[in-house]
Amino acid sequence: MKLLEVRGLKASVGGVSILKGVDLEIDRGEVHAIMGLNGSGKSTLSKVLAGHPAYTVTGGEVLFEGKNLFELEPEERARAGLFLAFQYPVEVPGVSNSAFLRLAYNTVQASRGGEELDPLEFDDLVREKIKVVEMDPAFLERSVNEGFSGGEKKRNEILQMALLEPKVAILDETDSGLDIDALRIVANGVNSLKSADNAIVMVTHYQRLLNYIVPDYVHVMDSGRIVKTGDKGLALELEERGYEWVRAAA
Amino acid sequence: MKDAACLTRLLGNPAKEDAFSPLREEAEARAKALALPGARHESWRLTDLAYLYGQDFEPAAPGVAPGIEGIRGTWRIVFVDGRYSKEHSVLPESGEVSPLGLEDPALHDYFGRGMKDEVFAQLNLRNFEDCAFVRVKNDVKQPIHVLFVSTKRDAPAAYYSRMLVLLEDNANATLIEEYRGEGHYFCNAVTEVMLKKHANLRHVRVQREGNDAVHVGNTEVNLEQGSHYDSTSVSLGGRLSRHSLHLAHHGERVDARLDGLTLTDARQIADVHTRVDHLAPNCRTVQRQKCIADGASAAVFSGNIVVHEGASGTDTKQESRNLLLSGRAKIDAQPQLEILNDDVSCRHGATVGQLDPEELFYLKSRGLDEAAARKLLIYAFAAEIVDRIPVRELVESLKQRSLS
Repeated sequence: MKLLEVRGLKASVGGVSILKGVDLEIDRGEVHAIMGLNGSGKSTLSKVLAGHPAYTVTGGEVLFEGKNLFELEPEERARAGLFLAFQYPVEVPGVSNSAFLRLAYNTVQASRGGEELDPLEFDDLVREKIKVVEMDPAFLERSVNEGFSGGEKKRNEILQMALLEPKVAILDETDSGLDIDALRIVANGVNSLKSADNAIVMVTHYQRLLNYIVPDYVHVMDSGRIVKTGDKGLALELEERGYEWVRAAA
Repeated sequence: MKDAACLTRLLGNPAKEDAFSPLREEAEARAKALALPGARHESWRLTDLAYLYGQDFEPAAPGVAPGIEGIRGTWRIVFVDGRYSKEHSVLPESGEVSPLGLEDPALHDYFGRGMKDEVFAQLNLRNFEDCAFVRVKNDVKQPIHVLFVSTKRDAPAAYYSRMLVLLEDNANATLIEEYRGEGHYFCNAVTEVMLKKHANLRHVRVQREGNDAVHVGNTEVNLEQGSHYDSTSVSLGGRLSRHSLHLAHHGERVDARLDGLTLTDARQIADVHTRVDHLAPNCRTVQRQKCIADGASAAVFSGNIVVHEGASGTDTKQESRNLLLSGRAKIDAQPQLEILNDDVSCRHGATVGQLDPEELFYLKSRGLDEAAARKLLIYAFAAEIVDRIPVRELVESLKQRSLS
């Protein structure tokens, strides 16, 4: 059984059809990159998989470890091991980052029959995990993402990934808004979390992230479908030749 | 005329005979002339008083309070049904905080001077039993907790709480004013605050009356040169409540901060009216009011800042942020500015919103269910006000309450 199987997925937002039949298979230990121009539907795909309420699934199916993903609420998907690193992480003023991280961690742990941690125990854990993204512990005491720079927000997303230990992590434009140092740190973090049991899906516009997190498969999306799949060489070719030739070929 | 009948009833008992008798007599005449607010009274337009007028309140006879839970590390002055309770109070032996000040001539210099147009304040003056007098001459390190408790009884009862707070030049204090109770009752509260030159008061007001209570409070704060008044007022309780807060900046370089939080649910009506008069130059007021309304409740906020002629260099900021949690709830927010002077910096704004669906989705995508995510966001909205309260134990108990 594959980890994630997407079959003929169609989805719309506000009555406008965006996904027009996406097919994709992802297995344990794999790294996938989904590339495409703005408006090709790649961000919509990640939001639909995570269960964003603004999108309506109009056709097809998605199986997560053989089970119908769309029967699960967003929080149930998260507990089952699906993780979305947001393109624009949401600021939550008034909620301390450490309290939020612990609440998320304990909720997910409880659902998996794991051990919940009190604030002191959790502090030890989060200070260990925070090293993965080289984040200043001072950010734990601030409100969730409030006033964080683009790079700090993305690091905070990967910190959440490190804590929640997902089976499938979808990174939606995680490279956007990052300078080269921040990009390297975030990529190193993701690489250190990669294992034979989980899968990483990078949704990205540019090839540069793929220099740091090397994909096994590269998919090109256009007009709501995956129109081409290849290995990492395809990403380099896109970088060089643009997207037009894939379109023409498809 | 339900309001007229209600007034007659509230004036039905003979006035107490004591040192305040002449004032009580005057107050009765004023209350009659003012009359209780009817539907056409502008300042009460948004607040339906039918719940008050529909009940026959008897004057509260002395009751016996159950065990009272205070706050650790504070001096405590407790009033039960408007009467001082020595038994429940905890006071320093040094006498730096005294509960009653009838014998203190300083009390009479400031007592009952203002609020002449407030009918409820005049009713209070006519009917109050005891007045708390908190006079601070230097610094009081421990917070002073003044607790007004109403006891449960069979018939609806009216009681009057009253307090005068006087901080002398350069004095410092933290004051927690709190209202609690059970059953059907009407608490009519008056608080007078006088800050002399460069005095500094951290004033926390917590209204957590019982679910069936009516609470009408009037607070008047007079501020002399260089004084600093920092207040947090939280309204949680009561079926019907109103708090009118009036500040007057009499001297230069007064610095005032007003934080307010109103939480309503079910069929609660909660009204907060504030007015700040800038009468002297170079004073500052920063006001931040938040309302959270759920169920079929109604919250009202009217905040008026008046910059008078001659009050040059005034700096004010007023913010009203509101969260509507149900389609049946209602919030009226009216921040207002009157500027009778140039050379001032005044900003204000109001927003009314619901919980942000993007924030909810973000929290759910991290494993929190709908209820937990909503709770966290509501809590976060309230925390901005509550977290500034300088007494940890009180912050925690308010968080418990607002999250339940």
